[in-house]
Amino acid sequence: MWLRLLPRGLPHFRVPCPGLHSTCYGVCLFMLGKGGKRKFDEHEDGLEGKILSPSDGPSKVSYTLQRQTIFNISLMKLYQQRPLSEPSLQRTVLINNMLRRIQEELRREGSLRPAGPAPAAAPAPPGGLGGCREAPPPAPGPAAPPGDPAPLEACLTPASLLEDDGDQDTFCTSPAAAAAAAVQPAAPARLPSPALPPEKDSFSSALDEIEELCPTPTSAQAAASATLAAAAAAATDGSKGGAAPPKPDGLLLPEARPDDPKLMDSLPGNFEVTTSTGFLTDLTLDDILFADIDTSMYDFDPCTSAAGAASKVAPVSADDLLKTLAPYSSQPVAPSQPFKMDLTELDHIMEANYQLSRAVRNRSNCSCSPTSSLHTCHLL
Amino acid sequence: MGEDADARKINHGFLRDHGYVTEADVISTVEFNHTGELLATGDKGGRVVVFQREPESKNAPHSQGEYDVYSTFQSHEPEFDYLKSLEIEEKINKIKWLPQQNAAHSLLSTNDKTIKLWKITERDKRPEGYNLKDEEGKLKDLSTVTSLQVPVLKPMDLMVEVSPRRVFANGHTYHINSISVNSDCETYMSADDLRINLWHLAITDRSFNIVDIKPANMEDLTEVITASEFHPHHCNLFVYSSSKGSLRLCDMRAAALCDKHSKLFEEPEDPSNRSFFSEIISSVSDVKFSHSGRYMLTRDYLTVKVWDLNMEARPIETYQVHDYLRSKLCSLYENDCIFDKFECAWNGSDSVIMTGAYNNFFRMFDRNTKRDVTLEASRESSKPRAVLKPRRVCVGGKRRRDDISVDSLDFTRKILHTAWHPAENIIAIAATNNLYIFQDKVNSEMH
Repeated sequence: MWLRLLPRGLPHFRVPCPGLHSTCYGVCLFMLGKGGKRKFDEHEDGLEGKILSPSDGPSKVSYTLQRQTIFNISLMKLYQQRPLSEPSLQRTVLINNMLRRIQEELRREGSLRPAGPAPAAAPAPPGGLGGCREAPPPAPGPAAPPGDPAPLEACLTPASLLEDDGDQDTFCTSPAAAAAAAVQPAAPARLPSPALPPEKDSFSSALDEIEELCPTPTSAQAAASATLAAAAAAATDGSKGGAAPPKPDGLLLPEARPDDPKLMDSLPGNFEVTTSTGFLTDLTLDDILFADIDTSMYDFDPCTSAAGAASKVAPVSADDLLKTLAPYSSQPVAPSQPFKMDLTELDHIMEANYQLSRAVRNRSNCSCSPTSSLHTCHLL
Repeated sequence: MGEDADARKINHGFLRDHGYVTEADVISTVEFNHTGELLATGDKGGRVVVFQREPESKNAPHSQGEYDVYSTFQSHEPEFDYLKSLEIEEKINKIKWLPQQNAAHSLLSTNDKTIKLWKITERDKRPEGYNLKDEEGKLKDLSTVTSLQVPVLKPMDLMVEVSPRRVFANGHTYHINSISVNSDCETYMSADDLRINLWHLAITDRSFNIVDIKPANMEDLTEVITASEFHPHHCNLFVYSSSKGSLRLCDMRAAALCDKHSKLFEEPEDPSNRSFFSEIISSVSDVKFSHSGRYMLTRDYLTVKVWDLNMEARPIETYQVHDYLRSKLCSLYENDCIFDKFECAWNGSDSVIMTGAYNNFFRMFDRNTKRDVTLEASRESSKPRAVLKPRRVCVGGKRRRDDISVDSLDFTRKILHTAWHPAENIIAIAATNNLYIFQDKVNSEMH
């Protein structure tokens, strides 16, 4: 029988303490639940009422749905900005492990599929910061004209984003409009005006690479991937001399096979994904523009990467990404259908990756340059 | 008893008189000292409030000693890390009492980065009858001094003085999650996410690193240290828990760096309960040795487990704290509740274990009778001296009156910090910013 002893002398407060969690999720159209709510959503019970395993036959789609939801929630959590104090390392590590596990599953599922055509000459782009981040949101509509302009627009959006800096609508609509416009020669012209002068030269060289590699559809995606890598390298080349570079990361994320012809055929029609990822893309733009970026992280050349980073990278077929997003697509999924994976989605994965590694790197108290330390508030 | 309370002069300088709630008042740790006479609480604003139990009055044997505020002081202040442009919170993460060796009481309090040793002393006498100064302290006119007197000590109103004796700073790069005083009363350890340091209580400018799980490549980091504690009797043994649900018992005699564990306690995953969140809910939030030193108590998100130090394969007992949350893990992941760190506690005889839950519920499990009870700490449901009523959470099916349904649980009201008196059945429950102290009237003595 437990009685209450009143401790004397201490004032008791009646109002429950607000804001026990300082987490806020902002806008995310993608999440099934509403962020920040403290009580359960009734409608969420349908999703999580069952503990699903991949072996359940008929509920495989809902398992995939659940997995994707959790994946997106995890990404959102990593994007969350906490400018004042350091976020909990345990929480970050657990979320990161969750992302890795889902990614592993995706890769395992992807490895059951037939391998794609031989890789193109361009270095494998596991993903990088600069160019990949601003890969275009998908064009609404079932299929873009096969071949050139769409993929090129995909590659070239980074520049437009750098120019427009902060115009979210532009993120979403301009690539689509540009894709519809389908002007290939005009596209490269947009590139050479990045925000950072040091990057300009690298972007120009990236441009050259692109022009070499396009315009055929099969090589278009190679061009796209080359641009991804080149733009990433561009971003990093421009700011060498940053902090002591950490080893390229072991956080493996689903990435587009550079040789997969389906990659560039058309962009998925997931406008919801567009909006949410566009928003998130906007958040990271500052980091790209102002952060001190280490070369080593984005040096994806298999010949030169340290610590076997390239060897760690196992490109995942676009098909399994496609499969993962199938539940969200309003269109039926068929193997012959154009690749639906949103490059922006990929970029987000990379960005989360980068954010995490930056966070842990900053934490590890290595020789951060003053510039990068000033902007840690943009990070996790 | 009344006159004793009035006679105490408590330093009210830091007590606030607000009618509203501020974040700074959220209690972040609760700890009884070794006799149970003192109870220390730390809050999010860096303050420490120490309560003292009233000695039982002979005149009124029915009224058990109640806890009064004994001392309040500001232990930690917010700081700013200029290198990383980040704030260092002043929230008190842990308080640990040192064994009392003289009239003074000492405790260690820590925030994320710095540990401080505080000494609490009482002054209840002051000297009177100085030769050179008069009562107000002014110098006397020497011509008026005709004889010498010896100053005598006269009683005065009790004054509790607190002073920082040691500051153990710059020992940790990551956030300190636990401290533990060794049974040798000379050393203590502090653990952050990746490292554990051993300090000597008298030496502040250096510490020994005894565990380091930081990987060479930080991107390979998958596991962090979540809690650690010294064995209550063997000064060479300590345990630390990880975010993957494993416990490692280390022996400091084996090597200077105890990265290799002497024993690894890990329960294999139950395949029927596998989900996306299996790893997260297996993360151990608290580990406590039993008073006997034979067992360990661990708390993960949904269960408390009792481990026998002699058996590493699995716990000897597992108790479900709130298994009805298992189907809600996605929501709890989304709103971050899944990362809440609940503490657990043994009673003095190691027969009952206690831990907190949501909706201001806390649970007690009797290890002998295998019975458990859910109680609520709230002002509405418990007036002083009222008997706590057992609560029940219903998960569908038959619902009795006064049952709470899972969907109406309040996840902002959670009991993370609990403490049990070392000898008697008195428990301290921290519910956000309120401290509740409950006593088992019927079974006051341990049995």
